[in-house]
Amino acid sequence: MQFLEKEIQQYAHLVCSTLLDFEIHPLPGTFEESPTDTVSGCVQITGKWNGSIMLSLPSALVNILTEKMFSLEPGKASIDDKKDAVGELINMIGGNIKALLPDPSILSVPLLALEGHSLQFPCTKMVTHCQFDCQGKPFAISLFERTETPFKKRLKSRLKLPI
Amino acid sequence: MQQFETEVCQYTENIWKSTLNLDVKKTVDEYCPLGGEDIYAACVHISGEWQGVIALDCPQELAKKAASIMFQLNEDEVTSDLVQDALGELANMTGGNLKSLLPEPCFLSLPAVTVTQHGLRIPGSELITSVTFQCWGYKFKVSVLKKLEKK
Repeated sequence: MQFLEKEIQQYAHLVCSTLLDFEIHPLPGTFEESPTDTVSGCVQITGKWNGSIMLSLPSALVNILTEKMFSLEPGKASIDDKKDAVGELINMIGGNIKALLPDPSILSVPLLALEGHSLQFPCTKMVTHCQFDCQGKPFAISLFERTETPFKKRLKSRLKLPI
Repeated sequence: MQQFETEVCQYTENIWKSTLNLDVKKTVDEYCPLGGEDIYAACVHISGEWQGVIALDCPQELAKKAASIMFQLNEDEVTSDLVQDALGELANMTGGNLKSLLPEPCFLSLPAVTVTQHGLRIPGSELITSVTFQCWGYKFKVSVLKKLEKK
């Protein structure tokens, strides 16, 4: 099992059911990103543990979640509403996961990339990827942990200089 | 003058000169990517006594040039992950310098980078500084966003 996989599944289920009254189900495999349709949001954790927690969703699911969260009619969610909804979701999921990580660690403010390419985190490796189904649409939560190799070392390696 | 504007200018000029040997100069024309244009956006979070984000928005051509210089490659040899590494490092250095001006204790996150048409969004934050620079015939932007205090 991947690092914190079971806990991520539990917290994702808890957040979606309590905040949105939506059931979610784990899906096998990897979430397929679209450069024009995927929305990704993350929080960063800094301190004793360093890395990122990222939520990836298709825009259609972002609309559904936003409308539910703010009791909006279909098609009435603004960009700001969507930003707030995804930000709140990743903040809640990230906050729960942070509680499982070595202390002291601090949670950052959320960061979103709307309908562009997914967020990337140089100097990290993905340690966990969980895909889910929500309202017939897939979404994913991924955990990235800082790698031990600092940038300068990787730069020297690429330039084939003595490390 | 915006908060930290002088320092953003000073640090950005120094970092791009010392790391890439590129001269950058502040310009009053704001960097506004054309609709539908993909740009690279990189940022670092600062958390702790001060909370917010330091962001760098850069056109793809300039980002590739920065990566090619940083990794000593021809531009056509530069891959997307190298561009992300380069932009991430530039954001990291800029953020690291600005962090020293902020109330302690504060912690710098790892960089996050993406290709986007709309720029990175930071819910619950306000833009406190945005400076556009000119470099090699391109413009790029460094922004400082601070978390809004919850009421």
